[in-house]
Amino acid sequence: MNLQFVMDGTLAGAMIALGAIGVTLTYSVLQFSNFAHGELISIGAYITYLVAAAISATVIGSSEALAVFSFGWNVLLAGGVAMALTGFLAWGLDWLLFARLRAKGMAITLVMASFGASMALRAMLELVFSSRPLYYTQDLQIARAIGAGILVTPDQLLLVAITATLVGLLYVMWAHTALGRAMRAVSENPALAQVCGIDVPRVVRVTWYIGGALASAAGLLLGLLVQVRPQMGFEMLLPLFAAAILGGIGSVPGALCGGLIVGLSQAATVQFIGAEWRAGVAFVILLAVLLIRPNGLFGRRS
Amino acid sequence: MTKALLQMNDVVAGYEQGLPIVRGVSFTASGGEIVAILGPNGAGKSTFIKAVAGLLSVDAGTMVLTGHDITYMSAHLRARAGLAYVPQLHNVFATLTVLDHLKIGATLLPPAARKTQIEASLTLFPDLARQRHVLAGRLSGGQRQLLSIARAVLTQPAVLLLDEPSAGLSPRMVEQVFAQLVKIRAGGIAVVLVEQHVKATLAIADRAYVLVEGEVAYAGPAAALQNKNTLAALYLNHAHRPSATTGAP
Repeated sequence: MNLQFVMDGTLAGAMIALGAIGVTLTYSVLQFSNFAHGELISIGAYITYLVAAAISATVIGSSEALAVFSFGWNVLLAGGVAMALTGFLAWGLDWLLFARLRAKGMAITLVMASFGASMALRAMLELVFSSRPLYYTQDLQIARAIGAGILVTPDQLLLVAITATLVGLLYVMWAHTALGRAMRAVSENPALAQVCGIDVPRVVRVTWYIGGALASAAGLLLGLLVQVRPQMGFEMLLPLFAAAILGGIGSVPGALCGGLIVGLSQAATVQFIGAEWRAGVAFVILLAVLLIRPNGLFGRRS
Repeated sequence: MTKALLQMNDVVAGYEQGLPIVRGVSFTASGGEIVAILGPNGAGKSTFIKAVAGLLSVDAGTMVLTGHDITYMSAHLRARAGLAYVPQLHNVFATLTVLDHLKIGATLLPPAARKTQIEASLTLFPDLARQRHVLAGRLSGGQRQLLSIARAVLTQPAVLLLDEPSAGLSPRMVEQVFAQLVKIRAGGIAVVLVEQHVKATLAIADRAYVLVEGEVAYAGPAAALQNKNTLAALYLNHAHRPSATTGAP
């Protein structure tokens, strides 16, 4: 059996997991499904593109391919800058829109507002950049066989390593630091968290920041492996929510596992059944898991 | 007993603006005393304590904690200023361990003191020490109450507010919780206790307030309420309350 779907699914799962972690954090801390999260992925990818182009224009040789990879260090640096900027943008979106609606206590309005923000941000990207796809690099890479019939490019391996590092760092923060404890406390009981001395508004700001930064990282991965388009984040939205729900809302390891399951099932479907079934099979798995474990794989019971 | 650590003057509070539940309550609590807040159901005891903790906004009046005006301060800043609160329900984070709770409390302390205080707290509550890595959601009701108290006391507060800590506990566990409160009082903390268990509460309280319909019907020595008839008269007939301020500091 050709195991290529394992590599393809892991790559897709890594991108989905980075986005799903942002979705799960926002939902668990604010009890709010942010449908504009996909646009944070797109915006992160575009910021990376712009910053990489600016570095390339000012530092000669920065876009020269790094070792075995297809891109220069300008893209990696730009990815870091974009994570920081997209984090601030997510925080700003909350300050400008969601926090004001939250203060009025209207949950459904908040969700509808996130739909509105999603469409507005996507339209803005199309207006500024058009629908024409952009690429971080035009270099072609030759995939190498790593055994069991699996072909992989150095870019793909690096991106899996970047995802593993980011998720690992986030897990350490979530499970072992004061900030992580505060986030977990706020997600469970904001009123109790307040009387314990936790600055809940600060935790909310940090949550948005982290979610935005990880969305940007997902945008970088997607941009490197595929292309940069205004629709790229929106098209990820359903897999992101599927992964977050599958893993159990509020669980960082759950979002990672959910992302990998959705990515692997999509890739396996493409290889063994047909590309047209790709989205459908992932959601059948989601429904099956939820019927057996309504709180997802790692979710807590309500 | 020392000076008043918490002082409230004519506080009006409720869940909605213009619909006060607590109406013009004045109150003091000093270091090293247990002050009981008693009253019939619906008297406004829990509303009062939530207003002190900062979970409800105050419509009128002033609140002063260790000389600082906290009337319009947010709940988390009140906690940092030395006000610890143990709610009646949902008083622990079910998905966090016992140790996580103590670490959350310890963040209000200077970094150098945190580890020592956590260990001191576990010594004070040996039942929790044995379960330091257990999720709070797996503890019994009494153990959760003790954990919540341990987390609150760890912050070395000036004032500890407790909302019906005996609710739902077995008599043996109530005894254990109240014994801890007596120890905490000995440490110089002002303990403010909202309770329905009148007899057990009056046995450890130094002073008591009786709230009826959101107003103070009695303020004075707890011992003066030991007589069942006095308390019944206060609960049933607010209009016939005795002179309320005797014995207040």
